Amino acid sequence: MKRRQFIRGMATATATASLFSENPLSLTFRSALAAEGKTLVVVFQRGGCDGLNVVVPYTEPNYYRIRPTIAIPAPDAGNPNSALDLDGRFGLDPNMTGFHQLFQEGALAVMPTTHYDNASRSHFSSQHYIETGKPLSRTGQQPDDDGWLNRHMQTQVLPSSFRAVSMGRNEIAQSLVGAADAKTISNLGDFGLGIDENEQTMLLQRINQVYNQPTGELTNHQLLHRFGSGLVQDLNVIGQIREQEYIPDNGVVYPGNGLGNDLRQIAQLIKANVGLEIATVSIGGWDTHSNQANRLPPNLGRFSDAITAFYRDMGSMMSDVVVLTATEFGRTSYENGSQGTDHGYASSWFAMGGGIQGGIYGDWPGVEDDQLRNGRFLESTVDCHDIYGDILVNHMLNNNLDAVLPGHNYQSLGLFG
Amino acid sequence: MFITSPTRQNVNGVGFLLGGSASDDNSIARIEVAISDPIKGVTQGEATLLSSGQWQFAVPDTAITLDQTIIITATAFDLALNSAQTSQSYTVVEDMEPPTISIVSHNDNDDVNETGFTVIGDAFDDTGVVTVSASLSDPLLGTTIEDQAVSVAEDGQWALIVTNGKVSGGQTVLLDLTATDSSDKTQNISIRLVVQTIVPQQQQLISRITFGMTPDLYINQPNANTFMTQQLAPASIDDSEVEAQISAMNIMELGDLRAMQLHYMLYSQRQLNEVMTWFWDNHFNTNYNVHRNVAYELAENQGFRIHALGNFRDLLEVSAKSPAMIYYLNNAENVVGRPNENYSREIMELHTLGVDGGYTADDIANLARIFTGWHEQDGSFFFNDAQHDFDNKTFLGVDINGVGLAEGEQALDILASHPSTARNICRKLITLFVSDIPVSGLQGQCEGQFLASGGNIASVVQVILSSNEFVSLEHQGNKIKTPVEMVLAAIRSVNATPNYPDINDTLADLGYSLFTFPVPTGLAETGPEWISSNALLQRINFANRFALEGQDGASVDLQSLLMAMGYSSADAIVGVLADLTLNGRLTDLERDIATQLLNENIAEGESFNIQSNEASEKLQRLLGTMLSYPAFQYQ
Repeated sequence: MKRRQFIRGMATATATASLFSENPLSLTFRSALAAEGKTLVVVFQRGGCDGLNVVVPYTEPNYYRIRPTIAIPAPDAGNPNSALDLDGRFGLDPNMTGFHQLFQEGALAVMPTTHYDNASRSHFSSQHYIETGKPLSRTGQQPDDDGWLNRHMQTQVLPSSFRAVSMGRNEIAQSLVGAADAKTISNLGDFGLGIDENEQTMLLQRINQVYNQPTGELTNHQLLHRFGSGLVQDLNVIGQIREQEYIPDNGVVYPGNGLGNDLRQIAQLIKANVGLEIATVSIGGWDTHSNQANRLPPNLGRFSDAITAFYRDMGSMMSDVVVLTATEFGRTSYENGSQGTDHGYASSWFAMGGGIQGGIYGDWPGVEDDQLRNGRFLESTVDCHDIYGDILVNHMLNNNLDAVLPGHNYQSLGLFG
Repeated sequence: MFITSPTRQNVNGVGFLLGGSASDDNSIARIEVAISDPIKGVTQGEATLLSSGQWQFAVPDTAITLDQTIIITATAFDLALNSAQTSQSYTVVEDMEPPTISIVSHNDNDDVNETGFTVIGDAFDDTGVVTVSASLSDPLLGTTIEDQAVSVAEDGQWALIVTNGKVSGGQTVLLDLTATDSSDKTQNISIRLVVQTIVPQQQQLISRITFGMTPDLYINQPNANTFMTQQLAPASIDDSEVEAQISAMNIMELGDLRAMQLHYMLYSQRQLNEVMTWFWDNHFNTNYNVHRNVAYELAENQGFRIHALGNFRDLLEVSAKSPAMIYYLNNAENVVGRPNENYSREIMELHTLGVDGGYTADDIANLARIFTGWHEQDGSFFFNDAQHDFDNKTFLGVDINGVGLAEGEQALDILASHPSTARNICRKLITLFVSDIPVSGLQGQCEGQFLASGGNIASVVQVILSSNEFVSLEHQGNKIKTPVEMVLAAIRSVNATPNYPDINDTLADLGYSLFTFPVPTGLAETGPEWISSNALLQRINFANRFALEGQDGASVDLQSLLMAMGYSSADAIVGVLADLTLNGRLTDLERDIATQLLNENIAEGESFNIQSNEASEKLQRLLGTMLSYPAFQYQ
């Protein structure tokens, strides 16, 4: 038996048990059967990415007036620092050659004005809001606020023991926090105990017993139980995958940065058929209050290179995979006194794969002073919840938007045509 | 070839059990025993071979005579009929006395915890105690332990671990112990124990206001109120030993600074002050990597230490005038005509008022102008009036005259005494000391104290630590240790020897690097941020690499520690380690797994010997396993 088949067999065995205990046809469960074999990867740009210098409105004179030192020049074949043209009106930062190519292939959906109503300009509140898909309560962050991706998982049953992964060392992405089981992995190679193998085997037997004891009602005790009870099984699955050397398809070489490593491992998990439905990744460094011209472009290059590498590695499998990129807000349309930008409003999000139609989405509000929100910020014309809705309905085959996006009046953006 | 028991010179005239061990590179075929008695002559027999080279032989009363000295010779033969021999002499005595049994860990009517406790004592006899058995009766639950055998170590020590669920809170339970000697003479002892529904405040205090239980704290058992009062007045505590060690450190690089902070956390007698120092350093988070100047971070850290339990206004000023903060949140670039709002936004959102604290975008903009010119020069705060915006401003409804430096001071006064600040700081302190989830009643008392005392932190913390909420059942052990709390608790629990660079690597793996966290919120204090599959695996990884291999941050000699503390029997060791590492919380399964680790490969009738060669390895394995239990992650 091949290793890959063995893993699939294991996942299915687990799934059968959970299907019996949670019969999707039973009226007591509102869960439907999820779309098997579909994966969503969400990349979060933490820090608030300056959308106006990602998708550049180079035909707007005011763009150049309000950004005297940091604006990106209009496309110019003779200038390597000029924008890469998309449609005669917008261009990408010149470091985003991978995304430019994807756009020309009709694969990249560009949403330059994405945000949500009455947004917060706090990093932490706005990330929380975007990832939970619910407004922040007045009493502050509640530990039990679940994420929109977790609510999707709660409303659909999927026969998989490894359904969701949050890449990172500790904290699970807020979008995956909740009652449904999600793992965190920082590095497949390190997902082990690093002690003598016999000691490890015996220790894992003891741990498996101890963490599968019934636990009390205290919230943090349940938290520990939730992750601890599946730990030994997770180790077994990862152990199987780790033994195979991973060679990306189509000659792809991932950039050696954090996002590249994370996406390469997500590709490995998808191809190992562990039943991965949702993966979240973060990339930081976007809070460019000063010296933006030296900080933003290289980060955009890393961002575009890593995601493009993932897209090429997945090849034809991209028809079953959607990648969505998000950020908590855009930045002030005027540059500040430190050649940087401060916290703003709408920003550029991107999506690709899974039948998403390339193109530029959302009406353009303009950047003349009287077109800016409060005279300072790029206005929003795309609600991030509608992006979520399009992906949920068309890709994840989940029509239970009342549960996943409570209180939101969904209107399709038509991302899937 | 050895005779291993009895270990005492005197043996019982009614007969006794002889035990020994034998090993051979081939295989032992049989063991012959000869008893030579001056009156009865020589009696011979064949011993019973047990597993793992152990053997036993029951010496009958017919072979021995009272008051005589007998010589026992045991001969082992292997399959090739090679033989090895050993002899031992004993004095045969009449078993006149019943055994003695005493309880050393508790007195009559002592308090014990509903969640579990360990009773330890001694049992002796002139001819050797055969067994100790225990029964426990609870007025509500009935007999929850019935004639349970309790193992007795060679030196007479026994221990009974009573796990959660065996006693009910508020009741007085009766523990009855019987020692039986080799001629079935018995001795009884009983003790009444009063079961506390709540963990004594002492235990909760140690787990929340220190960086973890230590053997010293465990032995000294400080009175809870005295301990709290002392810890709230750090100047009253002599910490000269640690201060001297710190002054001998040459703090040049980031690693030195981290070692200093860890050294304070591990060893300062002013533990609450260190808990609060780190709380403020994290509350007013800065990132060394932004400015790469150790002196900036060090000065700020020492400032927080001085005022840790002092006045909030002083702490706010330490942060606002710290070069580390001036560079981290861009006040260095905040100048007249080109204001930078980064610091003015975060000081309100994070350091004082809180995100819902009632400030507007105009307040952010105006506060940024107030802080123009708050710069650094020669390593210290410098008010650069040439770069200051001297216009008059309005901030939080107050008209502020454009007079220069005093504008910023006035803004700090307004922020430090604002009711929203009281709310935000109290919310964070309650999260630190009591619960991840807001505690509304306590929140109000705490805010009231903050405002009434003008931001006196010791008095606010005292309100929290003295509250009913602090010790209520739902808040006991329902915090998750942050990575630094987890690593330091492991080291403190067994007096391990730290290796600071390795601790820093471990903390980096766990996502908790000191002084380099990039996000202004500071590192999280709540459980869900620190527990996930990967995080749990890393924690278990640390526990076992530390315990088994002395790697990842510290090494420990558990065998010497336990012997010095006077613990030798398997159950006593598991019990004391549970108190040191798990706040005494142990389920039946966890206790059984733990004692089994010590009793592995020990023959029937024998008990764990802490002085044996394999004891050290077993103890390391036991520590790694117990530090992997869920309860070690709780605080």
